[in-house]
Amino acid sequence: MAAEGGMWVARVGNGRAPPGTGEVSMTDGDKLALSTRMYVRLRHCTGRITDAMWMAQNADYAREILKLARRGGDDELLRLADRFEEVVLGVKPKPAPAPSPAYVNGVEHEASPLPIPGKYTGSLR
Amino acid sequence: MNLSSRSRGLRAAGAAMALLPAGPAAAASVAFDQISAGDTAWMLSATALVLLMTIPGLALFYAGMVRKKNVLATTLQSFAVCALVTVLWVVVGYSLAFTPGSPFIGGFDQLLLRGLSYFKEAGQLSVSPIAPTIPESVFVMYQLTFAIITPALITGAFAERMRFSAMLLFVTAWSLLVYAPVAHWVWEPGGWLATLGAQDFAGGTVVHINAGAAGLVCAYMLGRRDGYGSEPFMPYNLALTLMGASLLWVGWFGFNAGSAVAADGRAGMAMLVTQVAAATAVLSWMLVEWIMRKRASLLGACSGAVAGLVAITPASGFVDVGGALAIGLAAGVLCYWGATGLKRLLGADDSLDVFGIHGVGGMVGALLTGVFSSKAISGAEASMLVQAVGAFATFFYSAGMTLMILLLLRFTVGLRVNGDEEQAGLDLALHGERIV
Repeated sequence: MAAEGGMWVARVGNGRAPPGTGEVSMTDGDKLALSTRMYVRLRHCTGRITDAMWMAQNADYAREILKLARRGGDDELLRLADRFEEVVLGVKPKPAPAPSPAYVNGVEHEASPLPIPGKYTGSLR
Repeated sequence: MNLSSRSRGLRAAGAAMALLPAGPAAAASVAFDQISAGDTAWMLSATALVLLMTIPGLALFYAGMVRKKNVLATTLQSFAVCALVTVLWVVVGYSLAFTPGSPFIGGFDQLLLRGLSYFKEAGQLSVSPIAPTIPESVFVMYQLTFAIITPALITGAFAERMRFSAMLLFVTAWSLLVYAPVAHWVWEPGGWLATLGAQDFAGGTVVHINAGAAGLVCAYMLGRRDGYGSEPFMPYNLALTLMGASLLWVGWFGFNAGSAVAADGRAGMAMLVTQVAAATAVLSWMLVEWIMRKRASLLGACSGAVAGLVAITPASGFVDVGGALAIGLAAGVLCYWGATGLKRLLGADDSLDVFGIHGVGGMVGALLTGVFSSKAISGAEASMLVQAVGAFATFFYSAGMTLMILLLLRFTVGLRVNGDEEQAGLDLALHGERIV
Protein backbone atom coordinates (compact mmCIF):
# COMPACT_ATOMS: atom_id res chain seq x y z
CA MET A 1 0.00 0.00 0.00
CA ALA A 2 1.49 3.32 -0.95
CA ALA A 3 1.18 6.04 1.64
CA GLU A 4 2.88 9.36 2.15
CA GLY A 5 2.82 11.23 5.44
CA GLY A 6 0.17 8.86 6.75
CA MET A 7 -2.35 9.97 4.12
CA TRP A 8 -3.44 8.69 0.78
CA VAL A 9 -2.48 11.25 -1.79
CA ALA A 10 -3.38 11.69 -5.43
CA ARG A 11 -0.37 11.31 -7.70
CA VAL A 12 -0.01 12.52 -11.18
CA GLY A 13 2.42 11.08 -13.68
CA ASN A 14 3.52 7.62 -14.64
CA GLY A 15 7.00 7.29 -13.20
CA ARG A 16 6.22 4.17 -11.25
CA ALA A 17 7.02 0.64 -12.17
CA PRO A 18 4.26 -1.15 -14.00
CA PRO A 19 2.38 -3.73 -12.03
CA GLY A 20 3.48 -7.29 -12.37
CA THR A 21 0.28 -9.04 -11.74
CA GLY A 22 -2.44 -6.95 -13.29
CA GLU A 23 -4.40 -8.43 -16.16
CA VAL A 24 -4.11 -6.72 -19.49
CA SER A 25 -7.46 -7.53 -20.95
CA MET A 26 -8.54 -3.90 -20.59
CA THR A 27 -6.91 -0.82 -21.98
CA ASP A 28 -5.15 1.47 -19.54
CA GLY A 29 -7.89 4.01 -20.15
CA ASP A 30 -10.55 1.50 -19.13
CA LYS A 31 -8.68 0.64 -15.96
CA LEU A 32 -8.24 4.27 -15.10
CA ALA A 33 -11.93 4.95 -15.71
CA LEU A 34 -12.90 2.20 -13.29
CA SER A 35 -10.36 3.37 -10.71
CA THR A 36 -11.68 6.90 -10.99
CA ARG A 37 -15.21 5.77 -10.32
CA MET A 38 -13.99 4.03 -7.19
CA TYR A 39 -12.07 7.15 -6.20
CA VAL A 40 -15.22 9.29 -6.41
CA ARG A 41 -17.36 6.77 -4.62
CA LEU A 42 -14.86 6.20 -1.83
CA ARG A 43 -14.43 9.89 -1.31
CA HIS A 44 -18.16 10.43 -0.87
CA CYS A 45 -18.96 7.33 1.13
CA THR A 46 -15.94 7.05 3.40
CA GLY A 47 -14.13 10.36 3.08
CA ARG A 48 -10.93 8.56 1.98
CA ILE A 49 -8.80 10.12 -0.73
CA THR A 50 -7.16 7.50 -2.92
CA ASP A 51 -4.82 7.49 -5.86
CA ALA A 52 -6.86 6.51 -8.86
CA MET A 53 -3.94 6.48 -11.27
CA TRP A 54 -1.74 4.34 -9.05
CA MET A 55 -4.63 1.99 -8.42
CA ALA A 56 -4.83 1.34 -12.15
CA GLN A 57 -1.12 0.56 -12.23
CA ASN A 58 -0.29 -1.33 -9.05
CA ALA A 59 -2.10 -4.50 -8.15
CA ASP A 60 -1.00 -4.53 -4.49
CA TYR A 61 -2.22 -1.01 -3.98
CA ALA A 62 -5.45 -1.87 -5.78
CA ARG A 63 -6.06 -4.86 -3.50
CA GLU A 64 -5.72 -2.67 -0.41
CA ILE A 65 -8.15 -0.15 -1.84
CA LEU A 66 -10.59 -2.93 -2.61
CA LYS A 67 -10.44 -4.00 1.04
CA LEU A 68 -11.30 -0.45 2.03
CA ALA A 69 -14.13 -0.37 -0.47
CA ARG A 70 -15.60 -3.59 0.86
CA ARG A 71 -15.59 -2.17 4.38
CA GLY A 72 -17.47 0.91 3.15
CA GLY A 73 -20.85 -0.81 3.36
CA ASP A 74 -22.07 0.72 0.14
CA ASP A 75 -23.73 -1.40 -2.53
CA GLU A 76 -22.29 0.62 -5.40
CA LEU A 77 -18.78 0.36 -3.92
CA LEU A 78 -19.17 -3.40 -3.60
CA ARG A 79 -20.31 -3.62 -7.17
CA LEU A 80 -17.38 -1.54 -8.37
CA ALA A 81 -14.95 -3.60 -6.29
CA ASP A 82 -16.26 -6.84 -7.78
CA ARG A 83 -15.99 -5.38 -11.25
CA PHE A 84 -12.44 -4.15 -10.66
CA GLU A 85 -11.32 -7.51 -9.31
CA GLU A 86 -12.85 -9.32 -12.22
CA VAL A 87 -11.65 -7.24 -15.12
CA VAL A 88 -8.42 -5.69 -13.82
CA LEU A 89 -7.03 -8.26 -11.40
CA GLY A 90 -8.47 -11.23 -13.23
CA VAL A 91 -10.20 -12.70 -10.18
CA LYS A 92 -13.06 -14.87 -11.26
CA PRO A 93 -16.33 -13.82 -9.69
CA LYS A 94 -17.62 -16.07 -6.94
CA PRO A 95 -20.43 -18.23 -8.24
CA ALA A 96 -23.77 -17.06 -7.02
CA PRO A 97 -25.32 -19.40 -4.45
CA ALA A 98 -27.59 -21.92 -6.05
CA PRO A 99 -31.16 -20.76 -5.79
CA SER A 100 -33.02 -22.69 -3.19
CA PRO A 101 -36.11 -24.41 -4.47
CA ALA A 102 -39.33 -22.78 -3.49
CA TYR A 103 -41.86 -24.86 -1.64
CA VAL A 104 -45.52 -24.07 -1.70
CA ASN A 105 -47.80 -26.33 0.26
CA GLY A 106 -45.05 -28.89 0.45
CA VAL A 107 -44.63 -29.03 -3.32
CA GLU A 108 -41.33 -28.06 -4.88
CA HIS A 109 -41.60 -25.44 -7.59
CA GLU A 110 -39.08 -24.13 -10.02
CA ALA A 111 -37.32 -21.06 -8.70
CA SER A 112 -38.48 -17.72 -10.04
CA PRO A 113 -36.65 -16.56 -13.13
CA LEU A 114 -34.06 -13.84 -12.71
CA PRO A 115 -35.03 -10.28 -13.64
CA ILE A 116 -35.23 -9.68 -17.34
CA PRO A 117 -31.95 -8.26 -18.71
CA GLY A 118 -32.35 -4.58 -19.40
CA LYS A 119 -35.04 -4.16 -16.75
CA TYR A 120 -34.92 -0.68 -15.17
CA THR A 121 -32.53 0.53 -17.87
CA GLY A 122 -34.02 3.67 -19.41
CA SER A 123 -37.47 2.81 -18.13
CA LEU A 124 -38.86 2.17 -14.68
CA ARG A 125 -42.03 0.42 -15.75
CA MET B 1 -65.47 20.83 -6.52
CA ASN B 2 -68.69 20.40 -8.41
CA LEU B 3 -70.77 22.98 -10.13
CA SER B 4 -74.05 22.32 -8.41
CA SER B 5 -72.56 22.59 -4.95
CA ARG B 6 -70.91 25.81 -6.06
CA SER B 7 -74.17 27.34 -7.23
CA ARG B 8 -75.97 26.09 -4.12
CA GLY B 9 -73.23 27.69 -2.11
CA LEU B 10 -73.53 30.98 -3.91
CA ARG B 11 -77.25 31.21 -3.28
CA ALA B 12 -76.90 30.51 0.43
CA ALA B 13 -73.98 32.86 0.79
CA GLY B 14 -75.79 35.61 -1.05
CA ALA B 15 -78.59 35.47 1.50
CA ALA B 16 -76.14 35.44 4.36
CA MET B 17 -74.09 38.32 3.04
CA ALA B 18 -77.14 40.52 2.70
CA LEU B 19 -77.71 40.35 6.43
CA LEU B 20 -74.18 40.99 7.63
CA PRO B 21 -71.69 43.85 7.71
CA ALA B 22 -69.52 44.16 4.63
CA GLY B 23 -66.32 42.13 4.73
CA PRO B 24 -64.02 40.66 2.17
CA ALA B 25 -66.03 39.75 -0.89
CA ALA B 26 -65.06 36.11 -0.81
CA ALA B 27 -66.22 35.18 2.68
CA ALA B 28 -69.44 35.61 4.60
CA SER B 29 -70.32 35.15 8.24
CA VAL B 30 -73.17 32.88 9.23
CA ALA B 31 -74.65 31.68 12.48
CA PHE B 32 -73.39 28.43 13.92
CA ASP B 33 -76.71 26.75 13.21
CA GLN B 34 -76.23 27.28 9.48
CA ILE B 35 -73.34 24.86 9.55
CA SER B 36 -74.03 21.19 8.85
CA ALA B 37 -72.41 18.98 11.46
CA GLY B 38 -72.51 16.01 9.08
CA ASP B 39 -70.87 17.86 6.21
CA THR B 40 -68.27 19.33 8.54
CA ALA B 41 -67.41 15.96 10.07
CA TRP B 42 -66.99 14.41 6.64
CA MET B 43 -64.89 17.27 5.31
CA LEU B 44 -62.60 17.18 8.35
CA SER B 45 -62.09 13.48 7.67
CA ALA B 46 -61.64 14.00 3.94
CA THR B 47 -59.03 16.69 4.61
CA ALA B 48 -57.01 14.30 6.75
CA LEU B 49 -57.31 11.62 4.07
CA VAL B 50 -56.01 13.90 1.32
CA LEU B 51 -53.12 15.07 3.48
CA LEU B 52 -52.25 11.42 4.09
CA MET B 53 -51.96 11.03 0.33
CA THR B 54 -48.87 13.25 0.34
CA ILE B 55 -47.36 12.44 3.72
CA PRO B 56 -46.69 9.61 3.84
CA GLY B 57 -48.52 8.22 0.78
CA LEU B 58 -46.76 9.91 -2.09
CA ALA B 59 -43.48 10.06 -0.17
CA LEU B 60 -43.48 6.27 0.20
CA PHE B 61 -44.74 5.70 -3.34
CA TYR B 62 -41.81 7.65 -4.74
CA ALA B 63 -39.25 6.46 -2.17
CA GLY B 64 -39.67 2.86 -3.23
CA MET B 65 -38.90 3.63 -6.86
CA VAL B 66 -35.67 5.61 -6.56
CA ARG B 67 -32.22 4.20 -5.91
CA LYS B 68 -31.14 3.59 -2.33
CA LYS B 69 -28.83 6.59 -2.32
CA ASN B 70 -31.73 8.98 -3.06
CA VAL B 71 -34.52 7.63 -0.87
CA LEU B 72 -34.20 10.14 1.97
CA ALA B 73 -33.89 13.13 -0.36
CA THR B 74 -36.97 12.03 -2.27
CA THR B 75 -39.13 11.63 0.83
CA LEU B 76 -37.84 14.91 2.19
CA GLN B 77 -39.04 16.67 -0.95
CA SER B 78 -42.67 15.66 -0.30
CA PHE B 79 -42.36 16.57 3.37
CA ALA B 80 -40.78 19.96 2.66
CA VAL B 81 -43.35 20.76 -0.02
CA CYS B 82 -46.07 20.08 2.55
CA ALA B 83 -44.61 22.65 4.93
CA LEU B 84 -43.75 25.22 2.28
CA VAL B 85 -47.09 25.20 0.49
CA THR B 86 -48.98 25.39 3.79
CA VAL B 87 -47.36 28.72 4.59
CA LEU B 88 -47.75 30.02 1.04
CA TRP B 89 -51.41 29.02 1.01
CA VAL B 90 -52.43 30.88 4.14
CA VAL B 91 -50.38 33.94 3.23
CA VAL B 92 -51.51 34.43 -0.38
CA GLY B 93 -52.32 31.22 -2.27
CA TYR B 94 -55.86 30.75 -1.01
CA SER B 95 -56.71 34.35 -1.81
CA LEU B 96 -55.35 34.06 -5.36
CA ALA B 97 -57.28 30.88 -5.99
CA PHE B 98 -60.59 31.35 -4.25
CA THR B 99 -61.51 35.02 -4.11
CA PRO B 100 -63.32 36.76 -6.95
CA GLY B 101 -61.02 38.76 -9.17
CA SER B 102 -60.62 38.42 -12.90
CA PRO B 103 -61.56 35.26 -14.81
CA PHE B 104 -57.88 34.34 -14.69
CA ILE B 105 -56.77 34.95 -11.12
CA GLY B 106 -58.29 35.84 -7.79
CA GLY B 107 -57.67 38.96 -5.77
CA PHE B 108 -55.81 39.85 -2.61
CA ASP B 109 -58.90 40.29 -0.43
CA GLN B 110 -57.98 37.35 1.73
CA LEU B 111 -54.26 37.83 2.17
CA LEU B 112 -53.26 36.10 5.40
CA LEU B 113 -56.80 34.64 5.38
CA ARG B 114 -58.31 38.02 6.20
CA GLY B 115 -61.99 37.62 6.91
CA LEU B 116 -61.72 34.06 8.17
CA SER B 117 -63.44 34.23 11.52
CA TYR B 118 -64.90 32.28 14.41
CA PHE B 119 -66.71 34.19 17.18
CA LYS B 120 -67.87 31.94 19.96
CA GLU B 121 -69.75 34.63 21.90
CA ALA B 122 -71.62 35.94 18.87
CA GLY B 123 -72.23 32.47 17.52
CA GLN B 124 -70.90 33.47 14.11
CA LEU B 125 -68.24 32.07 11.81
CA SER B 126 -67.16 32.63 8.24
CA VAL B 127 -67.96 30.36 5.32
CA SER B 128 -66.76 30.31 1.74
CA PRO B 129 -69.47 30.97 -0.87
CA ILE B 130 -68.29 27.76 -2.54
CA ALA B 131 -68.91 25.64 0.56
CA PRO B 132 -71.58 27.31 2.69
CA THR B 133 -72.39 24.39 4.99
CA ILE B 134 -68.91 23.97 6.46
CA PRO B 135 -66.68 26.45 8.31
CA GLU B 136 -64.35 28.37 6.07
CA SER B 137 -61.42 27.08 8.13
CA VAL B 138 -62.26 23.54 7.01
CA PHE B 139 -62.61 24.61 3.37
CA VAL B 140 -59.25 26.41 3.50
CA MET B 141 -57.61 23.30 4.94
CA TYR B 142 -59.28 20.99 2.46
CA GLN B 143 -58.14 23.05 -0.52
CA LEU B 144 -54.69 23.36 1.02
CA THR B 145 -54.23 19.60 0.84
CA PHE B 146 -54.81 19.78 -2.93
CA ALA B 147 -52.36 22.64 -3.24
CA ILE B 148 -49.80 20.50 -1.40
CA ILE B 149 -50.10 17.30 -3.38
CA THR B 150 -49.94 18.94 -6.81
CA PRO B 151 -46.36 20.25 -6.67
CA ALA B 152 -45.38 17.20 -4.61
CA LEU B 153 -46.40 15.05 -7.59
CA ILE B 154 -44.03 17.01 -9.84
CA THR B 155 -41.02 16.09 -7.71
CA GLY B 156 -41.19 12.59 -9.20
CA ALA B 157 -40.22 13.96 -12.61
CA PHE B 158 -36.91 15.46 -11.47
CA ALA B 159 -36.11 12.86 -8.80
CA GLU B 160 -32.47 12.03 -8.12
CA ARG B 161 -30.91 15.14 -9.62
CA MET B 162 -32.42 18.50 -8.59
CA ARG B 163 -30.82 20.79 -6.04
CA PHE B 164 -32.89 21.12 -2.89
CA SER B 165 -32.77 24.92 -2.84
CA ALA B 166 -33.84 25.08 -6.49
CA MET B 167 -36.69 22.68 -5.75
CA LEU B 168 -37.99 24.90 -2.94
CA LEU B 169 -37.82 28.02 -5.09
CA PHE B 170 -39.48 26.24 -7.98
CA VAL B 171 -42.36 25.02 -5.82
CA THR B 172 -42.84 28.50 -4.37
CA ALA B 173 -43.09 30.14 -7.78
CA TRP B 174 -45.09 27.31 -9.33
CA SER B 175 -47.69 27.24 -6.56
CA LEU B 176 -48.40 30.94 -6.89
CA LEU B 177 -48.03 31.39 -10.65
CA VAL B 178 -49.47 28.12 -11.92
CA TYR B 179 -51.49 26.20 -9.33
CA ALA B 180 -53.43 29.13 -7.86
CA PRO B 181 -54.49 30.59 -11.24
CA VAL B 182 -55.55 27.22 -12.66
CA ALA B 183 -57.53 26.41 -9.51
CA HIS B 184 -59.19 29.81 -9.94
CA TRP B 185 -60.04 29.12 -13.60
CA VAL B 186 -61.79 25.87 -12.80
CA TRP B 187 -63.14 26.04 -9.24
CA GLU B 188 -63.89 29.69 -8.53
CA PRO B 189 -67.35 30.47 -9.94
CA GLY B 190 -65.97 33.47 -11.87
CA GLY B 191 -63.07 31.54 -13.40
CA TRP B 192 -63.12 31.36 -17.18
CA LEU B 193 -63.27 27.56 -17.40
CA ALA B 194 -66.00 27.40 -14.76
CA THR B 195 -67.96 29.95 -16.76
CA LEU B 196 -67.51 27.88 -19.92
CA GLY B 197 -68.95 24.87 -18.10
CA ALA B 198 -65.86 22.70 -17.89
CA GLN B 199 -66.46 19.73 -15.61
CA ASP B 200 -63.66 18.83 -13.23
CA PHE B 201 -65.15 17.35 -10.11
CA ALA B 202 -62.05 16.77 -8.05
CA GLY B 203 -59.03 18.05 -9.92
CA GLY B 204 -58.24 16.00 -13.00
CA THR B 205 -57.30 19.22 -14.76
CA VAL B 206 -56.20 21.38 -11.83
CA VAL B 207 -54.07 18.71 -10.21
CA HIS B 208 -53.12 15.99 -12.65
CA ILE B 209 -52.86 17.60 -16.10
CA ASN B 210 -51.25 20.56 -14.39
CA ALA B 211 -48.66 18.43 -12.58
CA GLY B 212 -48.11 16.15 -15.57
CA ALA B 213 -47.33 19.01 -17.94
CA ALA B 214 -45.00 20.62 -15.41
CA GLY B 215 -43.31 17.27 -14.82
CA LEU B 216 -42.59 16.79 -18.50
CA VAL B 217 -41.00 20.23 -18.80
CA CYS B 218 -38.98 19.62 -15.64
CA ALA B 219 -37.68 16.35 -17.08
CA TYR B 220 -36.52 18.08 -20.26
CA MET B 221 -35.02 21.05 -18.46
CA LEU B 222 -33.16 19.06 -15.83
CA GLY B 223 -31.77 16.65 -18.40
CA ARG B 224 -31.21 12.95 -18.06
CA ARG B 225 -29.63 11.36 -15.02
CA ASP B 226 -26.07 10.10 -15.40
CA GLY B 227 -26.22 6.56 -16.71
CA TYR B 228 -29.82 6.86 -17.92
CA GLY B 229 -30.44 4.31 -20.62
CA SER B 230 -27.10 2.58 -20.14
CA GLU B 231 -27.24 1.19 -16.62
CA PRO B 232 -30.11 -0.15 -14.53
CA PHE B 233 -31.57 2.15 -11.89
CA MET B 234 -32.66 -0.40 -9.33
CA PRO B 235 -35.67 0.70 -7.31
CA TYR B 236 -34.90 0.71 -3.59
CA ASN B 237 -37.90 -1.20 -2.29
CA LEU B 238 -41.11 -1.71 -4.20
CA ALA B 239 -42.86 -2.79 -1.01
CA LEU B 240 -42.68 0.88 0.01
CA THR B 241 -44.24 1.74 -3.32
CA LEU B 242 -47.09 -0.68 -2.63
CA MET B 243 -47.68 0.90 0.78
CA GLY B 244 -47.62 4.34 -0.78
CA ALA B 245 -49.99 3.34 -3.55
CA SER B 246 -52.36 1.83 -1.00
CA LEU B 247 -52.36 5.02 1.03
CA LEU B 248 -52.99 6.98 -2.15
CA TRP B 249 -55.91 4.70 -3.04
CA VAL B 250 -57.60 5.06 0.35
CA GLY B 251 -56.78 8.75 0.59
CA TRP B 252 -58.34 9.28 -2.82
CA PHE B 253 -61.78 8.76 -1.25
CA GLY B 254 -61.16 12.04 0.56
CA PHE B 255 -59.98 13.58 -2.67
CA ASN B 256 -62.97 12.57 -4.81
CA ALA B 257 -65.83 11.96 -2.40
CA GLY B 258 -64.69 14.97 -0.38
CA SER B 259 -65.06 17.16 -3.46
CA ALA B 260 -68.83 16.89 -3.04
CA VAL B 261 -68.20 19.19 -0.03
CA ALA B 262 -71.07 17.42 1.65
CA ALA B 263 -71.87 14.12 3.29
CA ASP B 264 -74.48 13.20 0.74
CA GLY B 265 -75.45 10.85 -2.07
CA ARG B 266 -73.09 12.46 -4.54
CA ALA B 267 -70.18 11.83 -2.21
CA GLY B 268 -71.30 8.21 -2.03
CA MET B 269 -71.44 7.95 -5.83
CA ALA B 270 -68.01 9.53 -6.10
CA MET B 271 -66.57 7.03 -3.65
CA LEU B 272 -68.13 4.09 -5.50
CA VAL B 273 -66.93 5.08 -8.97
CA THR B 274 -63.48 5.87 -7.57
CA GLN B 275 -63.13 2.33 -6.25
CA VAL B 276 -64.47 0.80 -9.47
CA ALA B 277 -62.20 2.80 -11.77
CA ALA B 278 -59.10 2.11 -9.69
CA ALA B 279 -59.77 -1.62 -9.60
CA THR B 280 -60.52 -1.77 -13.33
CA ALA B 281 -57.32 0.07 -14.16
CA VAL B 282 -55.25 -2.31 -12.02
CA LEU B 283 -56.66 -5.21 -14.01
CA SER B 284 -56.30 -3.57 -17.40
CA TRP B 285 -52.69 -2.47 -16.72
CA MET B 286 -51.78 -5.97 -15.55
CA LEU B 287 -53.47 -7.50 -18.59
CA VAL B 288 -51.54 -5.31 -21.00
CA GLU B 289 -48.33 -6.03 -19.13
CA TRP B 290 -49.05 -9.74 -19.29
CA ILE B 291 -49.66 -9.59 -23.01
CA MET B 292 -46.58 -7.47 -23.70
CA ARG B 293 -44.11 -8.94 -21.20
CA LYS B 294 -45.57 -12.31 -20.23
CA ARG B 295 -45.93 -11.31 -16.58
CA ALA B 296 -47.75 -8.95 -14.27
CA SER B 297 -45.68 -6.88 -11.89
CA LEU B 298 -46.25 -5.28 -8.51
CA LEU B 299 -45.11 -1.91 -9.84
CA GLY B 300 -47.52 -2.33 -12.75
CA ALA B 301 -50.44 -3.04 -10.43
CA CYS B 302 -49.59 -0.01 -8.28
CA SER B 303 -49.23 2.14 -11.39
CA GLY B 304 -52.54 0.91 -12.75
CA ALA B 305 -54.29 1.83 -9.52
CA VAL B 306 -52.90 5.36 -9.59
CA ALA B 307 -53.74 5.69 -13.30
CA GLY B 308 -57.36 4.71 -12.66
CA LEU B 309 -57.62 7.05 -9.70
CA VAL B 310 -56.21 9.92 -11.72
CA ALA B 311 -58.55 9.33 -14.65
CA ILE B 312 -61.73 9.05 -12.57
CA THR B 313 -60.90 12.22 -10.62
CA PRO B 314 -62.53 14.78 -12.95
CA ALA B 315 -65.47 12.47 -13.62
CA SER B 316 -66.10 11.15 -10.13
CA GLY B 317 -69.14 13.31 -9.36
CA PHE B 318 -70.65 13.00 -12.81
CA VAL B 319 -70.54 9.39 -14.01
CA ASP B 320 -72.22 6.12 -13.12
CA VAL B 321 -70.59 2.74 -12.61
CA GLY B 322 -70.57 1.96 -16.34
CA GLY B 323 -68.63 5.15 -16.98
CA ALA B 324 -66.19 4.26 -14.21
CA LEU B 325 -65.54 0.84 -15.74
CA ALA B 326 -64.84 2.41 -19.14
CA ILE B 327 -62.62 5.13 -17.72
CA GLY B 328 -60.68 2.64 -15.61
CA LEU B 329 -60.17 0.34 -18.58
CA ALA B 330 -58.92 3.16 -20.80
CA ALA B 331 -56.68 4.57 -18.06
CA GLY B 332 -54.89 1.26 -17.47
CA VAL B 333 -54.13 0.76 -21.15
CA LEU B 334 -53.25 4.33 -22.09
CA CYS B 335 -51.17 5.09 -19.00
CA TYR B 336 -49.20 1.88 -19.58
CA TRP B 337 -48.40 3.27 -23.00
CA GLY B 338 -47.67 6.69 -21.46
CA ALA B 339 -45.09 5.23 -19.10
CA THR B 340 -43.45 2.99 -21.72
CA GLY B 341 -43.94 3.67 -25.44
CA LEU B 342 -44.75 7.37 -25.19
CA LYS B 343 -41.92 7.85 -22.72
CA ARG B 344 -39.42 6.39 -25.19
CA LEU B 345 -40.90 8.55 -27.93
CA LEU B 346 -40.56 11.74 -25.90
CA GLY B 347 -37.02 10.89 -24.82
CA ALA B 348 -37.24 12.74 -21.53
CA ASP B 349 -35.98 11.21 -18.31
CA ASP B 350 -39.22 11.64 -16.39
CA SER B 351 -37.81 9.66 -13.47
CA LEU B 352 -41.00 8.34 -11.91
CA ASP B 353 -43.36 8.80 -14.88
CA VAL B 354 -45.28 11.82 -13.67
CA PHE B 355 -46.30 12.73 -17.20
CA GLY B 356 -46.95 9.15 -18.28
CA ILE B 357 -49.42 8.56 -15.47
CA HIS B 358 -50.70 11.93 -14.23
CA GLY B 359 -50.50 13.82 -17.51
CA VAL B 360 -51.89 11.05 -19.69
CA GLY B 361 -54.35 9.86 -17.03
CA GLY B 362 -55.55 13.40 -16.47
CA MET B 363 -56.13 13.90 -20.19
CA VAL B 364 -57.98 10.58 -20.48
CA GLY B 365 -60.18 11.50 -17.53
CA ALA B 366 -60.90 15.06 -18.68
CA LEU B 367 -61.90 13.97 -22.19
CA LEU B 368 -63.87 10.91 -21.14
CA THR B 369 -65.78 13.03 -18.65
CA GLY B 370 -67.22 14.70 -21.72
CA VAL B 371 -68.29 11.28 -22.98
CA PHE B 372 -69.63 9.59 -19.86
CA SER B 373 -70.91 12.47 -17.74
CA SER B 374 -74.55 11.86 -16.88
CA LYS B 375 -76.87 14.82 -16.67
CA ALA B 376 -78.97 12.91 -14.17
CA ILE B 377 -76.01 12.83 -11.80
CA SER B 378 -74.21 16.06 -12.62
CA GLY B 379 -77.22 18.24 -13.34
CA ALA B 380 -75.55 19.72 -16.41
CA GLU B 381 -74.67 18.69 -19.94
CA ALA B 382 -71.01 18.03 -20.57
CA SER B 383 -69.30 19.14 -23.75
CA MET B 384 -66.36 17.29 -25.21
CA LEU B 385 -65.18 20.53 -26.81
CA VAL B 386 -65.21 22.42 -23.53
CA GLN B 387 -63.46 19.55 -21.79
CA ALA B 388 -60.75 19.57 -24.44
CA VAL B 389 -60.36 23.35 -24.20
CA GLY B 390 -59.94 23.10 -20.44
CA ALA B 391 -57.48 20.22 -20.64
CA PHE B 392 -55.26 21.68 -23.37
CA ALA B 393 -55.35 25.23 -22.03
CA THR B 394 -54.18 23.95 -18.66
CA PHE B 395 -51.53 21.76 -20.26
CA PHE B 396 -49.99 24.55 -22.31
CA TYR B 397 -50.26 27.19 -19.59
CA SER B 398 -48.62 24.89 -17.06
CA ALA B 399 -45.89 23.83 -19.48
CA GLY B 400 -45.13 27.41 -20.55
CA MET B 401 -45.03 28.86 -17.07
CA THR B 402 -42.97 25.96 -15.77
CA LEU B 403 -40.46 26.53 -18.55
CA MET B 404 -40.13 30.20 -17.66
CA ILE B 405 -39.71 29.53 -13.95
CA LEU B 406 -37.06 26.89 -14.61
CA LEU B 407 -35.16 29.12 -17.04
CA LEU B 408 -35.06 31.85 -14.44
CA LEU B 409 -33.79 29.45 -11.80
CA ARG B 410 -31.26 27.84 -14.13
CA PHE B 411 -29.58 31.17 -14.73
CA THR B 412 -29.67 32.27 -11.10
CA VAL B 413 -29.35 29.51 -8.51
CA GLY B 414 -28.88 26.57 -10.89
CA LEU B 415 -31.14 23.56 -11.15
CA ARG B 416 -29.05 20.47 -11.00
CA VAL B 417 -26.54 18.94 -8.62
CA ASN B 418 -23.04 18.40 -9.98
CA GLY B 419 -21.78 15.06 -11.26
CA ASP B 420 -20.02 14.07 -8.05
CA GLU B 421 -23.10 14.81 -5.98
CA GLU B 422 -25.32 12.88 -8.33
CA GLN B 423 -22.91 9.95 -8.28
CA ALA B 424 -22.75 9.97 -4.49
CA GLY B 425 -26.51 10.29 -4.16
CA LEU B 426 -28.58 13.18 -2.94
CA ASP B 427 -29.05 11.73 0.54
CA LEU B 428 -25.39 12.11 1.39
CA ALA B 429 -24.43 14.93 -0.93
CA LEU B 430 -27.29 17.30 -0.09
CA HIS B 431 -28.51 16.25 3.32
CA GLY B 432 -25.59 14.48 4.99
CA GLU B 433 -27.71 11.43 5.74
CA ARG B 434 -27.92 7.95 4.33
CA ILE B 435 -29.65 4.64 4.65
CA VAL B 436 -27.20 2.06 5.94
